Amino acid sequence: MCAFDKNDDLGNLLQAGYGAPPPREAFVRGLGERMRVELPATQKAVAPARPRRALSVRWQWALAAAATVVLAAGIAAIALRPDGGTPQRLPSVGGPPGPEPSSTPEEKMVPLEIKLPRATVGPTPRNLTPSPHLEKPDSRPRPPFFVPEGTVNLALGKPVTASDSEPIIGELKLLTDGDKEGADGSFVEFGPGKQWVQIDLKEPCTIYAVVVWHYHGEGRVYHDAVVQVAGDPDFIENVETVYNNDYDNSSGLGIGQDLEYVENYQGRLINAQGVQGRYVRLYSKGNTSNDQNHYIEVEVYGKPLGAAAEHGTAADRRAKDAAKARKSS
Amino acid sequence: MSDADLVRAIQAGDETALEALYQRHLPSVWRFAFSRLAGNAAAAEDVVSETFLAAVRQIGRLAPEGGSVAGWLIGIARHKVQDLRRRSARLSAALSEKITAAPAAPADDPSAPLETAELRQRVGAIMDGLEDDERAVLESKYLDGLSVREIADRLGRTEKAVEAALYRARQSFRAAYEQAERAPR
Repeated sequence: MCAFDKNDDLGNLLQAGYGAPPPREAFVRGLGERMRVELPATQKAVAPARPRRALSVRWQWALAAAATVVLAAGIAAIALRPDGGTPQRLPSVGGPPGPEPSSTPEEKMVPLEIKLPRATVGPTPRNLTPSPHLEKPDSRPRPPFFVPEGTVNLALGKPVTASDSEPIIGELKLLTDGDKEGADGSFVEFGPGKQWVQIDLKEPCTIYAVVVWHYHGEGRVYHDAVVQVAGDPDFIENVETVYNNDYDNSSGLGIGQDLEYVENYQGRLINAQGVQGRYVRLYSKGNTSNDQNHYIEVEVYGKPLGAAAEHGTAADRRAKDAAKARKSS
Repeated sequence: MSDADLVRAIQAGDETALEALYQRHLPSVWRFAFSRLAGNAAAAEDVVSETFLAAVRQIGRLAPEGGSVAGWLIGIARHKVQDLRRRSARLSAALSEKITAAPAAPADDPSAPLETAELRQRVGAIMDGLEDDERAVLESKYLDGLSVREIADRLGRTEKAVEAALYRARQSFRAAYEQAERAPR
């Protein structure tokens, strides 16, 4: 028998179990005043962002059709190239390793070991509809990803900056603290619209993979996920884009050909193909559950450039060649 | 005036609208913090302050029609509670125990008998587990004493929609409560 059978009973139960004495009047007045002081600064600092979900169905179809045309044109251009359409870029995720395995001992390739958080089975994903831009969700363990021996997580404990220096929730250092759990207190929440976070690896590095965990407590899709690497903190020169699923260029960083994906506890492994740089920047623009942007952890796997040169392997040289080829294409 | 109207007015710099939104949602955020922090009013004040200050700094980028303002604020408060616990753990193990331990008698509510501590913990956990909309309508109806019409005005919905939301919220609460009663203690 339930403890409450009528609405009055529910009211009494809530009063007893969730009621609270009123806050102090002085506290309420003081906080109200502090908020008023903050308001003008807020108005100067920010501008309303149009939420992605505001697009009408007709516009979504139009954008999808336009993106499909662009994609088809790109495929045709590749197929008509004199080299027979050999892709200059390896699959970004889940595919074969970037640098190919080598038979010589000095180039030993090893599976990348990534410590995963506890597997979470979140609530049913909300607002998810099949789309040609959305990868089919796959909860199976990720296939092994091979990297040169000696590859480490260069991002661990490294400083983080962001487009929004005052996150709504959490602190920037949570991105590189090694904690990948989806629990409260493990992630940073940034405001709505396009936001970026940036990790300073402190020295030029060769990067083989970037692994990112947005919020994975529920199956959701973060929009316009773009990952770039550069040698300067302002991302002005020699910017390499290693991942981009902004299929309609709504973030203005170019049309991406990677697919959107549903978050899960395994994070997203992005094949960086041995790109070189010191700074790694990750963009996003809201998600299917709300307009905010969240990060639990970002890992950057690679080697300091000095170390790579010192132990110079054929795999590293091939990685450099791949980066050059990507640039020229 | 609905929450969305108030958000738009605040984004245009209207201090009166800010005050209205603050007064409207303060009870809910306060109750949430008070419940999660086992009745520690000083800690609840910290959480409520940080929540509303973070909200006002970000409200310029909030899409007025993008979702529940109450849910957004509770979401911020939920993580401010975690931030506070982390800080407390670093600063003082004793304070951490005071805040994070399963609530015994509420610290600043000495009139509450011990047997209500368990009830508070259970009801607080159930309310925290409800969908944002469900929690908001239950609080508005049963704790703030608002009519269905008034709740509809606040949320910018029809009375029918609010009645449906109330029905769902009661069902969810009832199911969670019964499950908690059956669970081993």
